[in-house]
Amino acid sequence: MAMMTQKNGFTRRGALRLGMGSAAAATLAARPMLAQAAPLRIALAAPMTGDSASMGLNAQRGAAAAMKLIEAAGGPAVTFDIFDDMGQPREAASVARRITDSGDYDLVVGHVNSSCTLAAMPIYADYEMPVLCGSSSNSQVTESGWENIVRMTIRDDYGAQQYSAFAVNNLGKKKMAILFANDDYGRGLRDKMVIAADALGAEVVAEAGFTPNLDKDFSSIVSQFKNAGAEAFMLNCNYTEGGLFLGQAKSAGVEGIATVGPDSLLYNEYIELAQGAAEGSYILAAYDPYADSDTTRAFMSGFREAYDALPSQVAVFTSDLFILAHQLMAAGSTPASLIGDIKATEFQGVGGTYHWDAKGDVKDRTFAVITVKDGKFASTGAAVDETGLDALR
Amino acid sequence: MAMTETFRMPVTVKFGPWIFLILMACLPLVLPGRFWLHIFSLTMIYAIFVLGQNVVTGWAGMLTLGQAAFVGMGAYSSVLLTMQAGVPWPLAFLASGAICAASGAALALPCLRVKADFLSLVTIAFNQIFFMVANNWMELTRGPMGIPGVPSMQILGWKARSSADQFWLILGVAAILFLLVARLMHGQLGRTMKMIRDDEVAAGALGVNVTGYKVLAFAIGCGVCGLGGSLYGHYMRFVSPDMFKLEESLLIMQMAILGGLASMPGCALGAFLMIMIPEALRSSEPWLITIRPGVAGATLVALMIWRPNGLLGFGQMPRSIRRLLRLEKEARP
Amino acid sequence: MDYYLEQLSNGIAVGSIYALIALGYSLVYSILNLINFAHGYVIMVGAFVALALLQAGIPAVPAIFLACCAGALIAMGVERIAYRPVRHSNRIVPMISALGAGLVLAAGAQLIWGPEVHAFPQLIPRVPVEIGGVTLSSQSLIILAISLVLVAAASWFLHRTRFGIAAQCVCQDLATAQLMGIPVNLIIVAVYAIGGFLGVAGAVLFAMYFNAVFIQMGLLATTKAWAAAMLGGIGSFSGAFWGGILLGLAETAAVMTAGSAYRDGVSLAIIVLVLLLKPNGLFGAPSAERS
Repeated sequence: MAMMTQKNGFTRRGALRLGMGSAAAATLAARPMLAQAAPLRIALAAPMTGDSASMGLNAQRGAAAAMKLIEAAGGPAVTFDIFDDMGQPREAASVARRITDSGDYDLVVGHVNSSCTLAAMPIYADYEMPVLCGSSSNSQVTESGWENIVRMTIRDDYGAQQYSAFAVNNLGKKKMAILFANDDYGRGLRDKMVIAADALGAEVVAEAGFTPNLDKDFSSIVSQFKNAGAEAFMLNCNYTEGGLFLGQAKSAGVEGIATVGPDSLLYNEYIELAQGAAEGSYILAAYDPYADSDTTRAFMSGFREAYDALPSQVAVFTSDLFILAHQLMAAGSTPASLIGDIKATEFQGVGGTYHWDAKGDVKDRTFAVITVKDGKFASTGAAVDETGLDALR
Repeated sequence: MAMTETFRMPVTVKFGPWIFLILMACLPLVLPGRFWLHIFSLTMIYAIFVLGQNVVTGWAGMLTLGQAAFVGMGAYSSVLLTMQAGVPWPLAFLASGAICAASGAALALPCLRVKADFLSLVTIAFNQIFFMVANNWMELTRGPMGIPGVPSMQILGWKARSSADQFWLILGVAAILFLLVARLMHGQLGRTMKMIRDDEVAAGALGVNVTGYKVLAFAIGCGVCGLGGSLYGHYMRFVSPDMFKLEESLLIMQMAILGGLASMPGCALGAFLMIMIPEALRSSEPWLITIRPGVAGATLVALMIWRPNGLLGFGQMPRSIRRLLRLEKEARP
Repeated sequence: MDYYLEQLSNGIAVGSIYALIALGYSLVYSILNLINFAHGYVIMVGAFVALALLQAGIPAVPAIFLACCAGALIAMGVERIAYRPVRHSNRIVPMISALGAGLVLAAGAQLIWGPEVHAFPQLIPRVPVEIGGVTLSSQSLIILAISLVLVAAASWFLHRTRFGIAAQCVCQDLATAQLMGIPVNLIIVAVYAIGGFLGVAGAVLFAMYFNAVFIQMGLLATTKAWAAAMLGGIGSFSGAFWGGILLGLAETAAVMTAGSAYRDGVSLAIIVLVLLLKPNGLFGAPSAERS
């Protein structure tokens, strides 16, 4: 409850009389002075409980890993507090009001679920609170006219094109079966993938959506895909369901079909849950965990040592956002100028090089092609063959 | 709100709700910042949902577990009407109530001849089906992407922009709904419903149209939820299917039971506690975050054991308070 | 044709798992008339315990037996803490306190085992078996066999032993049973324990078949078990079994015809339709409504 006390020196009555817009301005005006004296204070908003709690755990680990790198790099100190949005839009709206109201934070890193980001953004926008978003892939996040947000993840339209092009051009598979999580992430990918497949001259012979975090039975979907004569499985979902799907396919005697998926599969649990069926499947990752750079190597080894796990996309993006904010603040940015400064900068992080367009989306990112070899992830060094994608741009 | 059934209301009961309303209206003037205002706005919106649940479960004695579907239906109807069809919010608000009342009645009609628990299963099924439709009917609802950028409540050119405006508007709507439902439930309609709840066979023997009253209770309850849903959608300024899942229905039910079935102030108290307890437990310590829903659950169990009929359920208030409120002479229902 | 037979076998395998979970659920439901939201959470914890014991190197059969016992113990704890104190109030109240207990169990499980989905070791060989040209998973056949055996055993227990008959008396009329000298409290505890035991057995099979143990199993298992029990007819063991099988088949049919996004909705709609035509479930005996 201590967080609720006003620290910005304007009275309650005053805030009311000023109206909310000017109250927000007052908050922001008061902040730069604090920021230079005090450490950089980050509010990390993520689902720590509820259905997507594993993503929250990764965000938390990514933040902790980033803190070590930041400490090693020197510069202004960073503190962060975790706010649990439970993956529910209602909780996200409460969290957003709590964060903005307390006046204790310079910026927000989060939320993870797109629905939470969309529910919380109007509140952050009112306060002009900088929001650095990692993994919300819904296109509306940057298309709704909010100027206080940047995000790391690659938009689903671009991603879906790349995955399809890889299956069709690199692997030569013309009959695709799409498995998608029926949430904004999987559904968005699926819609764009159907368009991309058409442009590439491939055929979607079967598709199936499932309720994420609930459906674990893919046996009938496997039969459906097999019956349709699929040559490639396109997995648009998280590692849990992707791995389970492959495992259940194997036990039904469906093996050796080319599999392509996004980096939400890039978890050790994917291999474990697939019971050997993940061998040889391809993952197109928005970041390369095996990239030949010191930052990446330091981060990977530190993360593996601390948690005995592969950092997921959420962890990498959260970590990079922490480091990005720290670098820019050390270089003299203020919370008010942070978003503009990010859009003007080119950032070299764990997940590679990022730069952003005016809306706050990353641009010109390339995918790293990763495969599973002998029960472990390995980089292939391959690049996506983009033949035929021009028609879509 | 009145909690007695006598025709001559005690002074405390008569004026209590009005004093409470005035105190609530003063909240935006004394509360620091917008967070607490948000919590109270949310509480009032949920109190409306609980009121809807209570009409069906508390007064009419039917166990439904799918109120979130009606909340969602109200929210989606209102949001789509204002955003796609350009209907002014007050009209969309009323329309969403009407849509939910009609679909509630339509759902109840075939189910009532079957055993009581069947209704709960049907309402759970309805909740799942609503979620499925909202999630898959891309053209209408944008599916799992949800609808962002919902306009705030607006009445004849006056737009609820600030948190305080929204708070007052929600308070006004909630007060009107509570007074209306209180009128109905403390009048002939509510007494008949209670009679059906307590002894269906006897009520039928006395010539009461049991099915008709049950359907009516369903229509009122679902309509109230639909109206609340409209407020919810425009207050959150975002709707998505995962806001109206089965867990949400269970939460509304928990609030109703915790406050006390068939109790007007119980609706508000139940909603307030079930929103406040998790909020008060919020912390930044990872393991505390993890156990937060569990602590909320444990509190619920403890409160249920302490007051099995709900905090403000009848016969649950300590004698001293009842005497203070001059309810002592009341017979237990 | 093969395709349909294959889907049929998928449906039966899933259905037999639902049947086992529904069995324990139906038991508590029929005797206490309680929508036991804690059931799914109890068996979820049981499945996690089984996983932990297996990882500790304990052989499969004793590990699963111990996990089932743990499930029985937890179910007894839930009965003592969240059910008995509120037994005499409105019947919705125990439902809510059971739900609260379920939330506690879920939070505890997340604290101990973390929020990730865990892979479960494959104890039953998972090889494709060809019978008459149809490929079936050996696992689904074995699961079907196990659940048949457990259902038969539980049915014998309830209908042929002194305890079982006493439990049936409690089911018919709690107050009278008490007056007849039946130790009602003991019976209720035992019923909870058996429900937890069988439920964990079902949950372990569930975990093996889908190769996953996860927190969300809790609510999932409760709703599936409830739907299966209602479909088969409350209070009937063979009803719970067939209800589970039919639920599995209905889900598979929903995936085949309407697409997997509609699985839950379509299968629940099928159940609702069946119950509209046969209000007591497919195998339930008609009984007067109890309040």
